[in-house]
Amino acid sequence: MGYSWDFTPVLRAMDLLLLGLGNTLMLTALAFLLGLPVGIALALARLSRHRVIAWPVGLMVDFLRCTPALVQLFWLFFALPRLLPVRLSPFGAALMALTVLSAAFVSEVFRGGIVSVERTQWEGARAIGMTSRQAMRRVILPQAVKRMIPVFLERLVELLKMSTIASTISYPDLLFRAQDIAQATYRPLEVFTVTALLYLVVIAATSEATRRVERHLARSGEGTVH
Amino acid sequence: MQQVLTFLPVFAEGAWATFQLAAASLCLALPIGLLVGMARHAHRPVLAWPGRLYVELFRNTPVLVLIIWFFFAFPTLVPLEMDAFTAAWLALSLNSGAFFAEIVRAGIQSIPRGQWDAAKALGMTYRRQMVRVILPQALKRMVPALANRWVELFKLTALAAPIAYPELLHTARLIASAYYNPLQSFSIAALAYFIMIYPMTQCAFWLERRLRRSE
Amino acid sequence: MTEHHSGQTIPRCLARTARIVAAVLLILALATTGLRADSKSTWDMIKERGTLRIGVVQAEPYAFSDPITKQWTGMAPSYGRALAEALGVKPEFVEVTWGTAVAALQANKIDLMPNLSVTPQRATAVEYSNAPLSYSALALLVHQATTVTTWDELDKPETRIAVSQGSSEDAYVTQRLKKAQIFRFGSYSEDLAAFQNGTVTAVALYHPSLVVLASKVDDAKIVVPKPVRSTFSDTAVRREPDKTLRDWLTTTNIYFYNTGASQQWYEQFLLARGIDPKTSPSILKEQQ
Repeated sequence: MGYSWDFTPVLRAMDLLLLGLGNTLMLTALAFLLGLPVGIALALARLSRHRVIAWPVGLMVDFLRCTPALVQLFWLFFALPRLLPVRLSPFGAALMALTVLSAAFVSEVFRGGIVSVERTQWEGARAIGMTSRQAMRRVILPQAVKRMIPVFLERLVELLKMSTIASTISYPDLLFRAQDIAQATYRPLEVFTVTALLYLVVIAATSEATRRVERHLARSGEGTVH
Repeated sequence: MQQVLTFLPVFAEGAWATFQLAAASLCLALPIGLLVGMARHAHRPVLAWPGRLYVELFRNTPVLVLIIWFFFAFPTLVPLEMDAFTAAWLALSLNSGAFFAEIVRAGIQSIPRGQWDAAKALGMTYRRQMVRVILPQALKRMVPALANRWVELFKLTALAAPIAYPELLHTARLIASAYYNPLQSFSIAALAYFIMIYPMTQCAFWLERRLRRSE
Repeated sequence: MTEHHSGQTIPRCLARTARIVAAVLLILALATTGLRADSKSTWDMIKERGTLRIGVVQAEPYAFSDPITKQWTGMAPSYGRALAEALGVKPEFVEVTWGTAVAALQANKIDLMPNLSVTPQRATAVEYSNAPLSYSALALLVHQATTVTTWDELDKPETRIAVSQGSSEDAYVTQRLKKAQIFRFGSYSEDLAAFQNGTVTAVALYHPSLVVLASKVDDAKIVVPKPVRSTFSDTAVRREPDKTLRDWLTTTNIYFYNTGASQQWYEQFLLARGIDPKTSPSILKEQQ
């Protein structure tokens, strides 16, 4: 006797699942957008000539990249309030954790991107009389940023997948809602299968969109060719 | 401080459980990646299409969702005993396998056509060309990407904590719950992860540099 | 690689995704044919295996496992050991959560689930022995300064309450306090941590658990909102044709309840955690 599938409980709860999906997308988008400026700031701090700034920031970024995101999230939500008088909501903690995660990665990509723009570009800019800062702003940064866009977009896809950790601290994202519904309807198979498919569709679509942007950039000669 | 010392053996057990899960997943993911990567490169659609499907499915589904699916949903479908380790192992292996498959495919594709032609000229079958000429060269190029993916895999083992696999993060959670000391508990866990993972990232860099020099 | 024109890419993208989804569903549908074999009765399986698998939740005083010794103590482990001894088998404790206990029974991960609060909804999926082991009231852990006496007072958007995800408290509070913000964490300790962090201002639990939690915090007191929500918990088993296990549990539970064993196990646990049992209401209906 095979398993008797019954999708009706899931379909009835579809509105809750879609609300959860909305929360997932919102959290991811905010973390991505906040992660960019924070990451760039971190990168610039790391590139600074003052060891006093560059070294601690470097250590912190290394630490963030060498610890799992879920550990960072639990630390922010459960441990930090014992250290400082802050009150973090599940959304706040999840946003902070994902932003910091994104920023650490962005900072490395940014650093690498700036470093990768050839020396000749710097020398050329200097030769036509630009100061270091002008060179950075008008010649180096635009080229570096164009190369980094594909990597940043891949980062967005990764962030979408990582957003699921927010469900462990009661942030009502798609996975959290799925667990609620699975436990209430006693139909874990249907609920989690539908949930997995929802994530799959959204993430595959985002992934495809980023690939198209990359191809467009590649055609215009600036991006990394695949 | 004294309490912390009594917890260290438990954390060590958790770290060992983390390592076991990661290593076991690597052992399954590598062969999967190799087979699927080669299948995707093959010119026969009957091989390439399922390979593509596999990669899209397991790369684009979040790992935590996969872990939860294997632990809660899968056992209602097949009469298999699914403990936390097995569920996490399957989820992580299938996910990493998909990434490895892409690395393998890219590695194979990066070998110039000339190598294939030369091997064919020597009278080798497709299989021999692949195994004796292409793969050895491709593997060298894949090592940095594989090493990075290993580090990712190691970090992803923490996602087995929500299904109560007693790895490092779950251990920290248990201790924090039983002794009401989340600050010490999670800080120790974070530090322990860093101590384990940082050397791995340095190794990965070193490998990358060495292989680039030898190209 | 061919050039794509924008007119073709959108349908291509959708078609590709649709193919993936269809393939996955097809594979899953095929995988379900004739895979779950008909199983023996749980009673026979227990005897054959020589072990009794008891579901336990990290939820004091129902069950607690010290991370260092890894020993299970609490009402459910005491009860489980007594049952296993009577059956002549070894007890085995399998960790679950309140929300996943029913699924664990259905998936044959555990043979019985003690201390599961009785709800008609759960009774559609599992069978209870119909001989409750403990009676308790739903209460709130709040700060000393908070004044609240009724459930209605709590039904407003400013209320932030923590519960254990999937528990019967979760189900009740969700349905009763439609305007409040409800946070669902994985364990009582995390509920308490959220309370101490200020994320929530109240934790909703049955009084036996609150007695233990309250002993861990300074600025807290227990309040039983009116109308009092009383409930009782019982042992749940998988629904199957053979009722031997279920009927046997009815007898054992009546025995343990009426000889005072279930109350004793509760008090033993409180003592072990350094709490004076006299500060807590009894879990026997007659003594409340």
